[in-house]
Amino acid sequence: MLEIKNLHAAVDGKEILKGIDLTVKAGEVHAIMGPNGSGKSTLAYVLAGRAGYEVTEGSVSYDGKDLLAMSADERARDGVFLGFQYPVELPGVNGMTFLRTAANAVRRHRGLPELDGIDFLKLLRQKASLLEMDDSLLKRAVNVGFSGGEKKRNEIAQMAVLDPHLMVLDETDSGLDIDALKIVSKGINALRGPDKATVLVTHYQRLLSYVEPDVVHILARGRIVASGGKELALELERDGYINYVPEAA
Amino acid sequence: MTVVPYAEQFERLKPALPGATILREQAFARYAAHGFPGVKREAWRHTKLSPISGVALEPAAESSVSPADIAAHLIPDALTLVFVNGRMDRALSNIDQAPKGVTIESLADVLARGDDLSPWLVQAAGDSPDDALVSLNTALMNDGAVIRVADGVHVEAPIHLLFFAKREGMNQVRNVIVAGKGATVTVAEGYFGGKDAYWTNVVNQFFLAEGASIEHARQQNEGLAAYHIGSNRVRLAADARFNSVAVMLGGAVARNETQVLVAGERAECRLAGVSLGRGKQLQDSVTLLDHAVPNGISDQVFKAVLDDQSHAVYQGKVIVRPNAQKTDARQANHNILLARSAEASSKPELEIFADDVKCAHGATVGELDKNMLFYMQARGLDPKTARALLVEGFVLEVLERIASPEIRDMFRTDIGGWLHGRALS
Ligand SMILES: Nc1ncnc2c1ncn2[C@@H]1O[C@H](COP(=O)(O)OP(=O)(O)O)[C@@H](O)[C@H]1O
Ligand SMILES: [Mg+2]
Repeated sequence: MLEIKNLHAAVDGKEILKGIDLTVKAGEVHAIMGPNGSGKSTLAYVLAGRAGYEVTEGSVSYDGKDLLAMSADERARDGVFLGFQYPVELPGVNGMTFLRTAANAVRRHRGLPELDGIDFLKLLRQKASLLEMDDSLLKRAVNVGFSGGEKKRNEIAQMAVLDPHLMVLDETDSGLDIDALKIVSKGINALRGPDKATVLVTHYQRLLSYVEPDVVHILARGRIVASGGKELALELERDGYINYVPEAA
Repeated sequence: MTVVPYAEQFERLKPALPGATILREQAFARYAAHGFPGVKREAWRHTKLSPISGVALEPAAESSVSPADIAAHLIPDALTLVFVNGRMDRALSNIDQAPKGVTIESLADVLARGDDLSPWLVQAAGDSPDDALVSLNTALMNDGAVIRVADGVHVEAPIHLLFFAKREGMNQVRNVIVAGKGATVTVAEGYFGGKDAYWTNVVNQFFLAEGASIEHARQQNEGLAAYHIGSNRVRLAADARFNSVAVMLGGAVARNETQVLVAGERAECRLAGVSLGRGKQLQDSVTLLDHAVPNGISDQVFKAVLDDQSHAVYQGKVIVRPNAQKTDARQANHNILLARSAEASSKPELEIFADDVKCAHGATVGELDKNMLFYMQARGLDPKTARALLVEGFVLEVLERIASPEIRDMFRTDIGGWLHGRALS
């Protein structure tokens, strides 16, 4: 479903990603771990198509298409979802209006009929209750005045409504207490499926005990330096990155 | 002595103008002492008036609109006064339905029958060169609305003044709104016009007695070749409340100036505006809040969204006189530039002579936030839709100040239409 080959990317002329190879098959969950500043968010942004993240070499194919040739919004409509490490506040933009506009953009792209206000509300209620989210949050301006945990839950609620094929979740677990983590994990697991793929960027093994990865990768200084099974995450939990990034000791 | 513009017109037109002969003469003299305010006047620095000061315009010819023309602009269940080229159209107005305790009349009628409005009218008789166009309006005023709400009367239906300009020429409009003690009323104004180059010079005078409350909404959607000079004069007695929201979309050069005298204690004045600019439009929002007595509140928010080479100006002056302790005066001005060639000028100004006061002001100019745009695109919104939602979000704070849902929706529709016409890419 996702095939990244020799991906190099620069921000402000500075190379951050230095040759990433990563293949994620449909149905799989891949975790990407790594120290701060190793390029995890940069990779997530490049996949989502953020302006200013310049790909200098390599290719990314998504469902056989050239992902890098698509604009950020085309990618989203085509089923790529980025859960932001720092979800953005949209002052004055009503959460329901925003998400219905987004959902209908995706539905149009998929050849599905648009949802009217009532049908959308039903869908939203259903997804929000899965995440034990208060309706009132969704009626407010997007993310404005939300707590850190509420913002992360809102990301997953949006994801549930948009029903993406490729989920790239950037540190969705950070800032969540254990109860919220369980709820968010449940939300992610509910969206897994044989025709979907998930890339989880995380610092902690904690999330991975709720959303079990098929493969764990370690990203350090813009490269994947090791890949393995979920035991790799446990090893990192125990020893830190010392075996992979010597000076991290 | 150089002859000021409109001197010949005034002499020729005055026999046919309704009533107030002496007042008109005096006002013309005040205007003639200064002529048009030039760009050297600080308060008029950006309002380039040469097209209407260079060639004196004639009053726009009589014209008419059809019920179909105005249908889209009506507020449901309102008391509506329709003016075409500055003259009231009785057939399209329904002021005879005004409830008890409210009189709504044509200014021309009131003046023609010899009613003395001068106690009200002279209160806009400023001597400053900056007041020259208000004086010119007093000299040439042709029609408008006179609205009087008796003490303690709550007027349910909004009173809606609709102005249509259909030809070139000038429209000198004067509206006088008097709210008695404890009275409450909503007054909305709408300005619409065609492609012609015309000039609307409108003066609104609002008088709020003790405890009165006026909700004021102003929709300026003149034609793009029009000049629109709006001057509002507001006087607040104790415990009065004036809440005003102005949306400015039209005009080649458009100005909305509001001067408020906080004359009674504990009065509250809320002024807000949204300017949406495109092409080479100039939109000028000018306010003067004069806190003369203690415990007054003023709260201003003006926002502009500017495309192409348009230019929005906010000049807001707050005076807190020595006696006006415990004044709480806030002003905010925020601007979004949709194009690099657009321009915003912001000039909040404070003159504080009392020591125990709260005064705050803030101003920003920027582009739409790239982080926000990316976040929205990452959810599947195309850039144009994302920008439109952000702009709507940006102006929402102002629209939310409008108490009437019908008026709020009407303004929102205007703004939506404007956004729809933008490339926003
Ligand atoms: N906008 C930017 N401009 C310049 N450098 C950046 C920018 N964003 C990230 N970086 C740098 O790129 C590197 C990787 O950052 P990031 O991808 O956020 O790491 P991670 O998510 O793994 O913590 C860091 O050294 C960071 O300082
Ligand atoms: Mg990161």
